[in-house]
Amino acid sequence: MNSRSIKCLASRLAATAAFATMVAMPLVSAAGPRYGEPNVSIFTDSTGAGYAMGTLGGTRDSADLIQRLSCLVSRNETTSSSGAKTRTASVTCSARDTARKTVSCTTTSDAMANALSGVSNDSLLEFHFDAAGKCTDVIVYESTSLERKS
Amino acid sequence: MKPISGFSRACIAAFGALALVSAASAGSKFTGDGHVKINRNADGTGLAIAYLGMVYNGDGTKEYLGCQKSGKDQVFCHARTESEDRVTCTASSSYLALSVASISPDSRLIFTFNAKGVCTGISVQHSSEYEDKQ
Repeated sequence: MNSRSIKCLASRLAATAAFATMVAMPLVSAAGPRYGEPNVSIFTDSTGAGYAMGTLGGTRDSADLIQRLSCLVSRNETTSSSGAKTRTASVTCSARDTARKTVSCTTTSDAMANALSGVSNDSLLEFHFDAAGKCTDVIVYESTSLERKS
Repeated sequence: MKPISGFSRACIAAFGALALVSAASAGSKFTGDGHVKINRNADGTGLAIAYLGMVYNGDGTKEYLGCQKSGKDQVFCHARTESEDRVTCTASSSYLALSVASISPDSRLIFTFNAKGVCTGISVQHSSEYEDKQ
């Protein structure tokens, strides 16, 4: 995990904790605090590089029929007659926001595939991509504040 | 203009938006056929696919699909369709075991196999469009 990812994740943890203690608790009686931006957000620069983020639960539960967020990890292993193993991994992530802006990226990085091993049904996903559509980073966040899929 | 960073977005979200999320039942949904399917090729290779949440929540009475891994990286996958077509595969692979570890109750799961019944691939997809087990 690079420094930017750590910074992002740490910020989210701190923000969620602060949100819980300073803002949400007085307003919510029968539920814990919720992460404030569960829907899909997409940001791109002039080159087409950028990132997308959102929560699987919040996106599914959103009030529109447009947003979606997804990551697919495939691993294949074949063994030759001599016993040599050939391993290939592929990752494809995609997102669409309420404005119907759609982005996707792919990579064959084992590190990216491994990073997605912790994804559950209600995770927050953030993926970064370059102008060529290659995934350059994947971040998975889990928290008490993330809503479950309805 | 440089896009606002995830860091800033998270802070804005946490401190600025009093977004107490309502659990509306909208959101884009996968509406296809999530049943267990087994496809076999003439050379004995093939694949099995299912949407775990949809199968669990569905009206099928015979179909299932699942994978397991052991502490010794033994991988086992099996599937049965509503028409009672069955397939199983095994592998001794720390690599494929990684994919088994990423399966969640709402995943789209695919495993491929060769003519000898060896698992050759496992694909796991997580999506906001896939329903959870209820």
